Amino acid sequence: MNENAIQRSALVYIGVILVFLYAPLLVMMLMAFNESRINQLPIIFDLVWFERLAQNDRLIAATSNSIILAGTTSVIATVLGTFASLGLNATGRRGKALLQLFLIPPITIPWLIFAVALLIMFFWLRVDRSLVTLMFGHVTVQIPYVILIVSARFATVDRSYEDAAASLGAPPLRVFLLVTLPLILPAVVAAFAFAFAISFDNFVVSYFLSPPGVSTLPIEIYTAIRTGFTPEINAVSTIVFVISVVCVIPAARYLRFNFN
Amino acid sequence: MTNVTLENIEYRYANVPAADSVSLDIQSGEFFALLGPSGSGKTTILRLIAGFIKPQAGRILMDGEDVQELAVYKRQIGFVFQNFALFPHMTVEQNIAFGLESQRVPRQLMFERIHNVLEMVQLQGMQKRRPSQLSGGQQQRVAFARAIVTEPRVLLLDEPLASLDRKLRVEMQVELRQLQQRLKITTLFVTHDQEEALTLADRIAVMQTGRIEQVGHPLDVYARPHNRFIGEFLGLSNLFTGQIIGYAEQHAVVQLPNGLKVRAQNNERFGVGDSVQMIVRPEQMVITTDKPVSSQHNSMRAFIGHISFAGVSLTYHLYGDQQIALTVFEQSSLNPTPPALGTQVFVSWLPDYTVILNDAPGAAVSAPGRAVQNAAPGRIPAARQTSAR
Repeated sequence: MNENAIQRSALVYIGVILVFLYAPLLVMMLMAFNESRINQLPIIFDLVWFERLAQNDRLIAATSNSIILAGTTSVIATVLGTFASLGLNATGRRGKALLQLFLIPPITIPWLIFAVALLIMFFWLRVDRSLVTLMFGHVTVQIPYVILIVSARFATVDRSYEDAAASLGAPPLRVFLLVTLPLILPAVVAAFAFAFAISFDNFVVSYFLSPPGVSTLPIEIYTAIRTGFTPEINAVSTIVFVISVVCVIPAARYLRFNFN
Repeated sequence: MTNVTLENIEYRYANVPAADSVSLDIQSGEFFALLGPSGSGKTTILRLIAGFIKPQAGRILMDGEDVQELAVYKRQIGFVFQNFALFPHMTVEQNIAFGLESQRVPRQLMFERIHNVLEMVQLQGMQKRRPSQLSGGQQQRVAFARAIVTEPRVLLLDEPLASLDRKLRVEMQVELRQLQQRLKITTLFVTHDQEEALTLADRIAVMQTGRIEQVGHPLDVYARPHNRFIGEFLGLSNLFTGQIIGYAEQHAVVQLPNGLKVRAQNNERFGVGDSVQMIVRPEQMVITTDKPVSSQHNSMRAFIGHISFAGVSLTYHLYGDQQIALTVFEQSSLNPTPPALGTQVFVSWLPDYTVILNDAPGAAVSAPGRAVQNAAPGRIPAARQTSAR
């Protein structure tokens, strides 16, 4: 096989993978613009489901709950996780390896198990389910990811920048704020975006820990599908998809942004 | 104007000594070079003085004051890193302003000083550029400007020219020397490049495996190396072994294995009957075709094995009796028609340039020192520094 043929088959292969990944999303988005209630073909373009969505207070409330929840928990998790990475970085090599080892299980344990554990703990502590428990659960799930992402960046930042800043008369806090933080900022932003995504589409933890009467978008979609599917779900999913892509593209570009 | 004193400094990385009982006295205003192969501990010394690491034993004094408990940011040092370590997220101006802002210099004065230092390093108009938009030489200048604008007590330079290409490096050496002389800052310069150390420094210290082997004026260390490692690290050399058989006037008379007697600078460590090693620099040797230069010279008959031409100089590789290999440099202009290969010639050199080394023959020589016999033909010392890395 010559080089061109290899390249062509590689492209075809990746194309197939992409179709596999995007076909369901594409179907969903097309149906969001389809007039038919039961996803009938041919597609007749209509924005009726978006109009219905605008009048669906439950779905709107759930979406805004999700955004507020993801926003606050991501900020908390990013701040806590970034300082944890900073601390991790300051420990010795062996301590760092051990601590990082302990970060892996919370990521690999299924969220279902984690959510049940949280629920049992709150029950044992006699803490009622509330917005606070819900946020607590989300932050717990987000933090390990934040630490891993920010720590990975820390490992690549040359210590000589910090040494240079100190040699120029900057005390430790000034070194951190003016040199270290800007250098790890891409990772902090990426970690925030990641944490936001984790919270926003988390179903299990929210389902177990949310107080009665409070619903997030994933819970609302789940409930809607169980009680009777309407294409409004397609419409809201399409909006969420577009917003996610728009948010993630700059984050991904920022991650790859090379200072040198 | 600050002098720096190191007293019996010890520093080990996991039991590998990087500073092994190092004592140094750097005068105020002096340009001092720490020279050695990689891993010899020279950068460690610099980092210890800066305060990035703390000695496990010994004291560091600045103007007689112990700085053990003084944090890096209070030491008033200027440090130029090998990779420059310019803050990538700041402009040239912001980089240079960083130290002045830390010192709370008033804004008006700050911009004045930034302006002046940029003029000094010839980077006017580059204020708003980012480090990534600068060439290697410009980055080096910014790093230097950033380090000196705060008027540090001591300037520490960690191989600042190593990443520049050869031509630029030589230019920057000259500029660096001129700037340092103008500013009169006590400067410690780390390099593995012997030419650079010899060109720039008032004094040099040659380091090996954490120890300081010799300290002195560059010419003196070059001409009178204490041991084979120093001799070979500082440049190409001809090495002889022999036995002291007596004295003639102030010179020792040494008999080579082939019976030839040569006179050498006396070394008080050795007496009659001792086996010794001697070193002669290739540029101190003269080649003549009919007879030795004079009876004042040591001389040896040899055959021309190979001649290499490198612009300003010719390098002769010759073979004497018993396969003694010799290397001789000659200015190209002195000899437009060098003798043909295989010609028998006389190699002459003065006893004063024949130095008896402190180490006895057979003494272990660690890397990168290596016997002249193994030196690749056709190399000049400048080429050697690459093999010495």
